[in-house]
Amino acid sequence: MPVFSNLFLQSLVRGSGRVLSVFVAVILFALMLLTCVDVVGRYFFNAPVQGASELTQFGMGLVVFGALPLVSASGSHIVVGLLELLAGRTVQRLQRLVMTVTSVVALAAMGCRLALTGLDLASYGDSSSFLRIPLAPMAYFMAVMAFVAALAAIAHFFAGASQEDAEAAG
Amino acid sequence: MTEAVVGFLLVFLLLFFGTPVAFGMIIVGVLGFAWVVGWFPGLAMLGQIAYETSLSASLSVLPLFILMGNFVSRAGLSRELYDCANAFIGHRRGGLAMATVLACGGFAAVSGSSMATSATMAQVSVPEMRKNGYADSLAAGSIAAGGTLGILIPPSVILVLYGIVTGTDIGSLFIAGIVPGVIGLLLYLAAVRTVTWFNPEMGPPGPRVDWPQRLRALSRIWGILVLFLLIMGGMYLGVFTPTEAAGIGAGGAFLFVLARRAMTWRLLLDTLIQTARTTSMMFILLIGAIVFSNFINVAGLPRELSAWVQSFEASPMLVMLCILAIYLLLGCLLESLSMMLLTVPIFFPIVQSLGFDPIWFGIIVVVVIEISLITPPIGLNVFVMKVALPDVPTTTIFRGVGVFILADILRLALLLLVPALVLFAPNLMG
Repeated sequence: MPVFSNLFLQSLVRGSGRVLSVFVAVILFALMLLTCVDVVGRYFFNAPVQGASELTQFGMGLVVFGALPLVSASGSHIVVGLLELLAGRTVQRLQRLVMTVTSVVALAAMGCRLALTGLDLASYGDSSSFLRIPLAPMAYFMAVMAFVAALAAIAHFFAGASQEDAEAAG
Repeated sequence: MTEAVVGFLLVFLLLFFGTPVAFGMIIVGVLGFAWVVGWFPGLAMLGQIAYETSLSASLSVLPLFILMGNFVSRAGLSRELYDCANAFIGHRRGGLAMATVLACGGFAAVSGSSMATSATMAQVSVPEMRKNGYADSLAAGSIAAGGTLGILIPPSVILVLYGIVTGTDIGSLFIAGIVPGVIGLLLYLAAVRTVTWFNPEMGPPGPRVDWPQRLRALSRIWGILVLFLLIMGGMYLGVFTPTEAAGIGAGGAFLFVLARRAMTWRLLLDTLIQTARTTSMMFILLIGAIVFSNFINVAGLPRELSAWVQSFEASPMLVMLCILAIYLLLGCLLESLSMMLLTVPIFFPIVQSLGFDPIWFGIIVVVVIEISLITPPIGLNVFVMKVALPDVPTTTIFRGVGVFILADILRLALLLLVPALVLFAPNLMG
């Protein structure tokens, strides 16, 4: 039973990782096209894209926070590699633990505050000035992604730990 | 001021035990802000900064330039850049190493990453140089050093980040980086020349290539040269904002890969995902840096430090040299982006109060960071070379790098003594 649930969890994690990857890829490509079309339109046809700057803003938010769980899941936030070069296995384990705990604390705090920002924006009914896109959902999206990234950091820790155990056993 | 100093020590402690740099700055920044001002404003600041920083249209310059670099580096351009440089100067003494420096400079300029450049060029140019009997120290040294050229030659991610944290115009920073970048390139070439002058057997000349072949080699990379000139020229003349230039650069690089028939769905998707991840990672780092610098600002560190420095009535240049020494020291511990984001909020006010130009200081900081990338005991680029060439001892790489460090120090001295080298180009800008 635990094996089954473990496999199920793994495929869930992998699947959602893929969905998120494709999502940020599409948004980023759209961001590039938008900027090009805007520039070409402005200089050659005197017709910039209406509201391009607001669309870019939202695109940036989606890419930055959409990719955050991917960064955490692969443990690729920048760390100082000094101790790693000198340390033995025990110290490295301690480092991995510290890395996970601090990542989760920071991401969770960020998630909470972004959720509150979202509630604030929703209560004022704020929306973007030109395209009238409501702002609260964006803050909610960021909040959710920060929490998912915290979970991903935990998953990364356990994935690494089980790998280590397998290495030690093998 | 005491709070800020404690905060710094705390950040370093956290980083030392494995905390990601961004999260270390966020945690200490929020705790410190809460300590000085109160819990509610401390936490509210975190949400506010995370929300506003990521929802910024002008900051799309970052992902778009990174995307451009990733397209170019995945297009298999490294080989052709090297072949082209080789065709022109390979037949000279030390020519293959000079071609390496040139190709590194070109590749790093568009890819924007020193470490990626060194790793990529190692695959391409080391086999060539070994085949021609080059000494390992010269081969490895020229690649490790050549990789550092790129973080100054625009478009440079680190200059964008400097511009954001200090409120300096990004376009001007890019333009200001060109001359110092080219000086660096020329001095590196001179370094190779000098080494092979005294020890000709370290870098024997390669075979001579005739003109039709040279032009053929050039024809394979002209597209990227045109793209580079287009975005730099556009920014210089004020036609494009940096963001627009970045968009055009990314779109152009995409077309470049398409035209070479190198584009597959897999490659497109991988490049976009990789870019999005790098973007996310950098923004979290940026958010951390802003949170942390807000804390040290309310704690009054920059102001009090400025006053303290001025109480010595030391000459501004002496203070500058002290700051640069601190950078070289920190370069042993921190990777370049984190080092800049962590330190600039403190040093920038001091430097400004001493009357230095913000653009000039940005360039100087980047030059020093480049030096720290190849300086013993911990030069990150040297370790990249170690991974790429496991059979070459680290000491050999450091020995090869030595002459390039001298070239860098010479350049630093030039830029310190003649600020006009940095500043005349942005002052001419349209």
